[in-house]
Amino acid sequence: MESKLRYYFGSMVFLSGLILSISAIGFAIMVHLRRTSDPSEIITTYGILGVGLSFILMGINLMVSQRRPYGLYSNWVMIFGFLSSIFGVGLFAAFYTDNWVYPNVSYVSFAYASGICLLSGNAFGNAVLKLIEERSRQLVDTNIINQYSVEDIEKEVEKTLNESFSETTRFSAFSLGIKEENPVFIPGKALKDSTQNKIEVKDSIREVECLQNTISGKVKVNDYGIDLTTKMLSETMKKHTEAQNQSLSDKLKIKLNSMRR
Amino acid sequence: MAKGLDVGTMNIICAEKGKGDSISFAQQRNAFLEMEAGDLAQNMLDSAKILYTQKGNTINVLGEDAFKFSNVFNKPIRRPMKQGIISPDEKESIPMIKLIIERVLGQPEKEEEIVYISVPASPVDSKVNVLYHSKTVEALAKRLGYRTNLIDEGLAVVFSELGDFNFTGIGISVGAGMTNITVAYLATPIVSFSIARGGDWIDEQVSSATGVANERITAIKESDFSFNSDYEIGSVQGALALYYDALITYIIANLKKKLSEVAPPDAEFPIAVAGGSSRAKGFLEMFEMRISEANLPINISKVKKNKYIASDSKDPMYSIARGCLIAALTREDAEFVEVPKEEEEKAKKAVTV
Repeated sequence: MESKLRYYFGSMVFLSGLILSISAIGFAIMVHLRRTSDPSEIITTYGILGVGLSFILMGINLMVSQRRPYGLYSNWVMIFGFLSSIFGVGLFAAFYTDNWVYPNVSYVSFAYASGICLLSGNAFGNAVLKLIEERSRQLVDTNIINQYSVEDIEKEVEKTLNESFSETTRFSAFSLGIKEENPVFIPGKALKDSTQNKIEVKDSIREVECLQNTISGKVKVNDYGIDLTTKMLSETMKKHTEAQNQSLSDKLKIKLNSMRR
Repeated sequence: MAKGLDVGTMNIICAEKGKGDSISFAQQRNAFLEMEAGDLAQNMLDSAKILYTQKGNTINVLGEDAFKFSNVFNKPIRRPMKQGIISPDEKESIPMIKLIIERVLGQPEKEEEIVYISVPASPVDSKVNVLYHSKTVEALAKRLGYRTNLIDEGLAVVFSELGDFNFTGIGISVGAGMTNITVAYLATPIVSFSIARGGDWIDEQVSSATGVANERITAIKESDFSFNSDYEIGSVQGALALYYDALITYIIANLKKKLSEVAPPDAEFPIAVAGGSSRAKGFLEMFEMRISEANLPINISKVKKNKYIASDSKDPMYSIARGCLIAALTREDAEFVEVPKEEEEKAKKAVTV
């Protein structure tokens, strides 16, 4: 059964049960029900109340019921519980007042009580299962968010790579200007006249070329060997194509000659 | 010619291409010391060729000399930057940084000369925002006539140190005010963050633990400290080793936390450590040991060692400026290649018309 349909039936049965129970209580108040009341009044009140309570529990069961594999057992328990409680009410209506003695009272009590217990136990069990599954689903969802595929990572790297050398990355585009003010500090003689000391060290900074290659993904090669091999390969490929063309034209000529003959 | 500028809490360093195959570094301490003005003091400073400025009755001694005077007179120095950014507590911070930047960067040789400036990434353990600092520093360089670009300190380390690994790896800059970390894949940053702890944090902790003045701790740290030595109980060196180790552990813990939030590509990631506070002897060995114990969620191939040689451009202190210069030269080269193509297209169009 579709879950929406189950909810529809469940809520309908639940409300019916509620109306029946309220009606039974209303009826009991109306007829001033007591121990010495007319048996028909007692049967009507308790019968409607008993059926109403079964309907309420049945409605709850329908709304919280699980899918397979638990759903299969749960449905059987629900049906058995409902039938048992209705059977209990029926027995009560049949035995009251004339046969309302031991062991009939025990049979009625056992049938109704077992039905109500099965229905309420099933509803509780299903509700607990639903809570656990909901929590585990939330955990699985959170894990999915944190899992990145190789494609996602590559896309992110590419995006950042494109932005890494642009001027508007994570900093504000606002340019802070500094107003020329009258100098408050008078520089000392050394600050005005002397030049800044510099340390000069030998360093070819070959990282500049490496960085250029890494960013652009291109490699410049000034290798005589590679150039020579490339030329030789291209000449060989050219000759090979010419030879193939030659052999094709030769074959065609031979075929034409043979046809003429 | 393009330039690279490292604006650090302790040092401001400019790197530019020297004659032939060389790099030229201009460096100034990002600090000053306030003294009382007087004819005698001014004459003395002038004759000793000490950099200073005068404002009313006060003299501000700039750069390295400020540290020397501070140790002699036992007077605290003033720092224009704090925790990697322009200090909000120092009213003279911007004029002082402006003077030092003007001094090390100099005037551009041509119009629109490219300069790459290192800036810190957003810190993970502090509410400090780096935007104001970045924009102010950029404006100061722009004012001199440069075309400015900003680059993460960590990425600058990757550019400088990890060229042999296709610019894939982790660049860590352990500076005075901050530690900047960038995980890059093929020159593209995957994770970039900073930690509001660095050399200054070590100095402060050691100073409060031992009762020795901050400036004295800095001097001992820079000249008379190395790991792998036995320390006397209660000695400054022992406390320095302890807090260095605490800083390394903190850096690695934050790196591990950040890496667990992203999905880095399945590649080998070497680590390059730079910055003034990583110059202590034995620092890298200690770092390597802690990294091997950390069990990071990525494949660390090695910790790239920088031999500490003062005259070498591979000195970890110059790495950031060098990385900025590499970025600037690459940008310049890329633009140089692009221009003829445009011209060629224009020429082609002209021919077809």
